[in-house]
Amino acid sequence: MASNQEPGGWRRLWGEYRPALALATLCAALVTTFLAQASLRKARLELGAAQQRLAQATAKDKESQDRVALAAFASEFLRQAARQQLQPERWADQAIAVSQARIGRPEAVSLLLQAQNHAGHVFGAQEFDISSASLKAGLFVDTAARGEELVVTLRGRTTFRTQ
Amino acid sequence: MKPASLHAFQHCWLTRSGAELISPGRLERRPARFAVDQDVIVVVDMPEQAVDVSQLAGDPAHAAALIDRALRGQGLMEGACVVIPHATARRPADYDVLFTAYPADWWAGVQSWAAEAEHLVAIVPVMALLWATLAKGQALVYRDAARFTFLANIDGRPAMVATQAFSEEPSDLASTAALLCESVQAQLLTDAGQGSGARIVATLSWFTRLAPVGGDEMADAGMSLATAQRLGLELRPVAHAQVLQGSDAFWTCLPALCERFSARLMTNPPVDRYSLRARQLLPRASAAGVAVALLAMLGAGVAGGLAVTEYAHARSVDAQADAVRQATAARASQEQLPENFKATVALVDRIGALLERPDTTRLAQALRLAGSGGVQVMRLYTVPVKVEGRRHGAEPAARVLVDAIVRSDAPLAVQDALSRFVNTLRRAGYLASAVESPGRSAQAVGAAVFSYELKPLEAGEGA
Repeated sequence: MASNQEPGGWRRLWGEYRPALALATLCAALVTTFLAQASLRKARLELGAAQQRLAQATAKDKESQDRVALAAFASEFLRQAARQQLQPERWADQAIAVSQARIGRPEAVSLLLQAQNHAGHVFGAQEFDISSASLKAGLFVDTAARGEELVVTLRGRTTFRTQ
Repeated sequence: MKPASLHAFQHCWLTRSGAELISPGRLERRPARFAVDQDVIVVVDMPEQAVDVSQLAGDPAHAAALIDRALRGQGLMEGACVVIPHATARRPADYDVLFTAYPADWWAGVQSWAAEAEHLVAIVPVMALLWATLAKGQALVYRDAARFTFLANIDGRPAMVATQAFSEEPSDLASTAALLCESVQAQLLTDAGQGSGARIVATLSWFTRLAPVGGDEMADAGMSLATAQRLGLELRPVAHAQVLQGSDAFWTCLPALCERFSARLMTNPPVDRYSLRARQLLPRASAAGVAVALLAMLGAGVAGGLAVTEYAHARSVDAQADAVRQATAARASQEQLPENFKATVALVDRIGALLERPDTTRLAQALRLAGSGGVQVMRLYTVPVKVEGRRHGAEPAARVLVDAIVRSDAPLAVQDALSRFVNTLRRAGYLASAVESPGRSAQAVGAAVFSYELKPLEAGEGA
């Protein structure tokens, strides 16, 4: 029913301008929601980027730690190598190539001694063929065959310490 | 529920002779087409109108034209009329329609007056409002001065009986009310064709249009009670409002009737109905809009809070990343490899590779020892092995072979000598496997040449 009394200021304002106020409130709320959502999207993007930067920094840090560990290992390796006198500047290489040489047994023994490994001297044979020149005598035979020659083929490389 | 916007409406009875404007506690009599200064619901009720229930066949859309022709044919209306159907109830072969007919010229004038008013003038026939108060199984009596109208909703079908008293004397009114009951019982409720009608009408309401407070009030109370008792119905009270015109007091059912008002009952042009519906919906739409706005703001607040948290988290993560980068930078000086590390590794690799090759000195010592049991070693040599997929620059693989014969002066039989030869080699760290003799020593004089492939025994394979 209509009332004879005038409503109060706020009630009158609400009564007369209710649709406009509701619309304005709704618009303001929608704009606020849009801005808040946009802000949230931007914040999430920033968080994602920050997490990516952290992941990259962590990966690089892990690589750095690995390199430090490798450097420590290398230092220890060099210490052990020095203890074993394995300094590269003090070692040299020599190739040995003897092809089907008929030589006497003393010379053959002398030649084969070069192929013997010992401290500061390492020989690696790529190919060898040691046989008796006489089919009647073996490689390690009796005194009767000592005059016989051996046929020696020897190809390889020697690495030896120079000092 | 009455829409909130209708509270601002005035209520008005409209007849040909004038209008009775009802506002809370007040009755004001005005000319028929008074100046409207506020939205008003105008309930049209005039003696010149024709109200009835007709039974028609065909399409209900043509009901108004059929009724118009019938009214004119019966001489109930003079000149052209406007027929307004209020309720239609279909049956298999025909239908009943409750209608009100108004003189066309007068009705056009009312519509014109309503259209020209600066405020909304909602024109509603009284029968439309009365029918709107009835649910199925309910009935009412509407008294306008000496005129009584009984209206019932019988399972959705309208039924109506009207009587007219000689005067408004209480005795005349009472006898007319009694007559109405007889008519109702005779024509409707006990009608053979509608035999179940009496049982499906249960309640009765009593509406008095406008009556002075005093004698009539008591008369209406008595009549309503007596009518309900005669018809065997339960009396359903209707709240009548008391209004003052100067010092005279009246009571009227108009406010109670207007509680049933809705836009669909209006006879105004469609634009007025839509306008009223929009105004009725506006408060709800406004409230809904405010509710949505509040929810949206709540959502915005939550999203804003989340955004602040995410920004803070992002800053924290960035700080962690900075700390990690600083730690990495501080460690940079420790990452350098020693100067001659690579050369030393290359030397060790080279020596390792050489040591993996067959050791001729060790082989010769083992063979010399193994041959002491009567086996004469004729040849010690390598045979290259073809390896599929060998990488470029890698040393070719080689098999180590040995050719031997059993000396004729051997102290053991051939098989025993060879067995001892193989076992001795095994103890010296070599596995000797017999192979076909491919070498030139196969031509050794007078003795069979045995060839073996020598392989270093792996750890744990020793004799």
